[in-house]
Amino acid sequence: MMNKKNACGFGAGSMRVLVGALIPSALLMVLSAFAAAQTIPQNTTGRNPGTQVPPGATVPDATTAASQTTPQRRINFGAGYVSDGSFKFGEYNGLEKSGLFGIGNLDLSGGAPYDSKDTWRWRLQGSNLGLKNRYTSLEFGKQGKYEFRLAYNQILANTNDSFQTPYLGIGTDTLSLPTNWLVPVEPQKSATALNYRSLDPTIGAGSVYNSHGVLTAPTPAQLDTMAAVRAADLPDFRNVDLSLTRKRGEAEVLLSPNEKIDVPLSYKFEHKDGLKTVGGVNDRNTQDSALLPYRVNWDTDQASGAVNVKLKKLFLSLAYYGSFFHNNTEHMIWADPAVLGLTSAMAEEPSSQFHQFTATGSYKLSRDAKLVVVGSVGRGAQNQAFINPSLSNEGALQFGLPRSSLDGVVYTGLASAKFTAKHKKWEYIADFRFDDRDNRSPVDIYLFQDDASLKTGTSPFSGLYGLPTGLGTNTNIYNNRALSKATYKANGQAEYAISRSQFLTAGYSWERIDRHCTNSWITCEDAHLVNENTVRADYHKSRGTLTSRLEYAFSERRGDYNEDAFLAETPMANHIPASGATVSLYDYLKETGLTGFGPVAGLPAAPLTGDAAIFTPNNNTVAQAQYGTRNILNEIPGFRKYYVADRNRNHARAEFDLNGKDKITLHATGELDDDDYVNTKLGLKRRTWWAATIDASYTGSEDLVADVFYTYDNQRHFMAGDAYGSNSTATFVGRAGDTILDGPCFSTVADRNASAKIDPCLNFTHNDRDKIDTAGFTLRKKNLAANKLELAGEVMYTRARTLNAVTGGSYVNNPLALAAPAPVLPTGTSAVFYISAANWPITRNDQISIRPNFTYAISKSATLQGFYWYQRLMSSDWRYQALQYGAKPNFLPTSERSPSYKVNVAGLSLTWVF
Amino acid sequence: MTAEVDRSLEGDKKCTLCHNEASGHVLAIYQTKHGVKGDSRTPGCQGCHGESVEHQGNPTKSPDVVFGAKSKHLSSVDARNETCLACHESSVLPRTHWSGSQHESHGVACADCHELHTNDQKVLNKLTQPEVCFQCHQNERAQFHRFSRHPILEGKVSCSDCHNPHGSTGPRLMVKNTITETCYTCHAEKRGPFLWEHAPVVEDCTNCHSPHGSNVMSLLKTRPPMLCQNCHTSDHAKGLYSGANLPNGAFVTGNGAIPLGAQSPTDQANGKSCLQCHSQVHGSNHPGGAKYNR
Repeated sequence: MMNKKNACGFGAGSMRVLVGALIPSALLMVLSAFAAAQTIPQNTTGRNPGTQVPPGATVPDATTAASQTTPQRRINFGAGYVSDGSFKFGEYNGLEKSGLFGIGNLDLSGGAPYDSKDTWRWRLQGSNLGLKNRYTSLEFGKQGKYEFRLAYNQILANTNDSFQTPYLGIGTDTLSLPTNWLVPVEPQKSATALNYRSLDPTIGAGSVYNSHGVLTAPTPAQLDTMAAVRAADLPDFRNVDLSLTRKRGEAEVLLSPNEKIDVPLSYKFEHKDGLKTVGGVNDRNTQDSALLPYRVNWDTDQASGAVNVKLKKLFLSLAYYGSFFHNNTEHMIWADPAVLGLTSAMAEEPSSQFHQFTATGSYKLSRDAKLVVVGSVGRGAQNQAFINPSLSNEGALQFGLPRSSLDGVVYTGLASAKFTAKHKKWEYIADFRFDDRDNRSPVDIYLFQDDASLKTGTSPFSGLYGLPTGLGTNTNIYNNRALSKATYKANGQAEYAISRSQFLTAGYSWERIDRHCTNSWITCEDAHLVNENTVRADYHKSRGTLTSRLEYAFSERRGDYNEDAFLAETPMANHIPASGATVSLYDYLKETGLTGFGPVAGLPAAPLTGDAAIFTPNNNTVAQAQYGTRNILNEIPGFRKYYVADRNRNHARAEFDLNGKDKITLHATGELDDDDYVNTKLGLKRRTWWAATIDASYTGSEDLVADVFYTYDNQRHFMAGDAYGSNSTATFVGRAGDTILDGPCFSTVADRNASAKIDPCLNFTHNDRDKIDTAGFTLRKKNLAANKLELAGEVMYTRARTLNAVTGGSYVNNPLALAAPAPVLPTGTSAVFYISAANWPITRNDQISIRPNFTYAISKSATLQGFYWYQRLMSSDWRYQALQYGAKPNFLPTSERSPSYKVNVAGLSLTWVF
Repeated sequence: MTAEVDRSLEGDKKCTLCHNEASGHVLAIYQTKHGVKGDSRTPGCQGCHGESVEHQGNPTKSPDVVFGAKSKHLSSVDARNETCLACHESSVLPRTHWSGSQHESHGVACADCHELHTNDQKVLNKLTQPEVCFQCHQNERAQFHRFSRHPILEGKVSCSDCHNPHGSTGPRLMVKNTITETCYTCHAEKRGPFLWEHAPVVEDCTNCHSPHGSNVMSLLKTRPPMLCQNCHTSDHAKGLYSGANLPNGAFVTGNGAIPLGAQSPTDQANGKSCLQCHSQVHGSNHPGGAKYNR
């Protein structure tokens, strides 16, 4: 068919078709917009249980040459019903609310006939139109000349609908508390200190020990106080739905001015909007924390373009990629529920940009040999203004800032070369890769108070080394770190064809990672240089219907672990404190050979003197004030961070595939990863993961297909820790007679305290294990009822268990062991209990879904589709326990619950093919 | 394929005389980009299946190149891929990094994933792409049915959003040069650079996350505080946290020796655990956020 051209250069006939297609689609979108804000459900194809395709994908086979060679146009519309609302069920599919919803999909295409000289074609697709997770795309162009693609994609991601909060101003950057808010207190414990337990009438009214060690019930006046708090505060808590909406628009162009040049261009715009929770902590009176409804209001633009030159043996490409993130909210301020009138502030994710240029060249050296070379440079920048210290009255930034913004810059680079060749029975791969992240952000000293904590004491660095006066012993004097990393990797591999059906592969790779920090006064990384060597072998056989494969790889990673890397954050560790010390902390550690942990010893026989008494009193860890930090930062000797620690890794994989020319196919895989952190005494010592799947398919005929699979997945993390204490000369708790300790390692408080740092009873282990079974079954039967009916169905089941086993124990003081005027404990009564660790409750998530559906051909151009979807989740997770009312003194309760649900969905739709 | 094959409709007729509308969906190739005869690059039947002289003379003989997975005459992976790469290695939608890539070296054929005789290629549709990938990546299929996952099954994220199955410059077939660069294509807010960077975050998101699915929130490999304690061992991070620290746990109630309410459920063991306060673990740009709590 010859089409006349219009001014746009498109075929006029095609434009008519395009307009004709847009009208019904626009109508459909309008109709859908009136439907409930839900998305369509998915049904199955009878292959690979658990994957989903939209209804309408199954249409009658075209029977004529004309219909087979002409693109079909398809519109699918209908309605469905959801029985129960569930945010988790509707996490991504939009079916979070109960009630009616609309079904709408379309797939329209057209253009010049295949046998025309015209290459104009177009395609308009849409799913979930008019709904919250709609998708539409329009493609058009003249093949080989230019092609355009426009798309719009939206998703609603639901997090939680059981979250409660008393905060006002949700959706803005300032969260305030209602004017009637009363600081929750348990007056029988403290008349002023925050205690959310008072929000629960039963738990809050619990008895406490008075100063005489007598269990005392709250007085009527105290109960009245708590009742007043509950009356004022509880009504302030209300439900807030936590969800994010992502809207993304995409435009892509492929220009092909001739057969040797391509110019692909693309632009994507994305807006994310909604609420999620972040933890906010305050520390003026008592360290209290709240999960805050955090406003997300982000825009991201991504642009890319390239020029590809395609010659006979040579391919060259120069490409650009840019990403521009803009946070429309710079910070969040919230009211401290413990101290009325006090606010805290958090800096939000800073706006940033990233530009990257990539040059690629490949050259075909011969029919069987090829060289590919890539070079890439990038620049990421971030210069968001720092939060104004005056915006919050928490006093965290009372000493001023060294600069008004970071002016952060990170350069990235990649250089790689890959050579591949085949020669007779051999195939070779050799490649080298250099990857660099070079952080050139300026490094400065920042002075701050943690959270809202008030300054106490006088820092031994106050007024020295260019620092201002007035610094407290709990003032943090920190350097930022500009983390950089360069990775070198070389790899060689050879495959030998033992026979036409058997192949043996062997390979070796070497990797070196160089971590470093720009402008750091000391080596900043836990492992500066890490080398990893890997050998691997692979045997596979493919003969007839049978394919099998065995893979094995062993890696050995070793590095120069540095237990003093933490000092890079604390520049005062390189200066002598004004506390009588003669050297800096860093020099002291070098002189003594110690780490920040100090001596691995109990209380010294004689009191320490000189620098030792200042830096490691009582043989304890280095005193924080002596290097300008509020928190202990050091590591225990023998501790290793797993992502840089020495490691032996075994990887194995086996695969068996009976790909039937016959009715039955079988596929089985087994895979194992075992990471042994060989030189780690404390920290993650071993991670083991293995999984196995068996998948069988039965094809009784062209009309009958059944699939079933089962996967077992097992993951284990084993770590060891040490909850060491501080050596002290204290000999009792409460009164002088309260000295008995109930524990397996020590019998007296004095003995325990003298060896608190090396107390073996404080060693512990975590053994975290995931055990997950997944099974699926699908069945599809076509050509029933005089070839008009197709039935399909799917069952999916996941049984997931996370077990967190713990060994060890902790000390807790007997609450009756109190200072005078409380009495001394009765003879033989323990002043300190040793409480054994308990395994965490098992985290369970059991989910089953059953989804039968049918397709009935009403005519050659119309089919009726119906489906039913039952899904149930039985979930339990201990993380929610402390978020309930009355559970924790200093967590603002949110009442969030584990999202179990049971939902039924049914729908009916009509597909029209034309 | 050789340049001598007849790519025209006339050439195709040698095949479509027999392989006509009664032969399944063979003719549907003309709905696809490979069937647009106005484009001189389209291959025609013989462009992919070879000249197949013997097959033309004797239908019991197989064509030169057979793609049907269930055919007993299925051609070798090399023969099948060579056909596709004749155009796609460097001229049409170039697959520059295919050679030596994981899929290539594991014997994956282009036609294992791509169906050419349909205008609805499953692998090119985000909703149906997982069906194709899961045929081999079966353990990942199970992982995408876990409590915490990306919206792969709903077609809002596809495997190819993160992985380039044709080979790439990144590890694990990532579409970008590194894992973090790949993650930033959707999670640009975590890119920074931040004033206070968290080393494992900057290096590799998978140090803490299982992107294919997890039984605990936020796709974490294991949950806090255990996850955090794999790297942190000082101050309150050194503590032993266990079920005994939960409300009504043995620690809170003193093994029954201390009445309820005497002790507080330990902060680090409850709610979001460490993240209840250190919520900015991906990096902080607050001058007082060195400990990721601002």
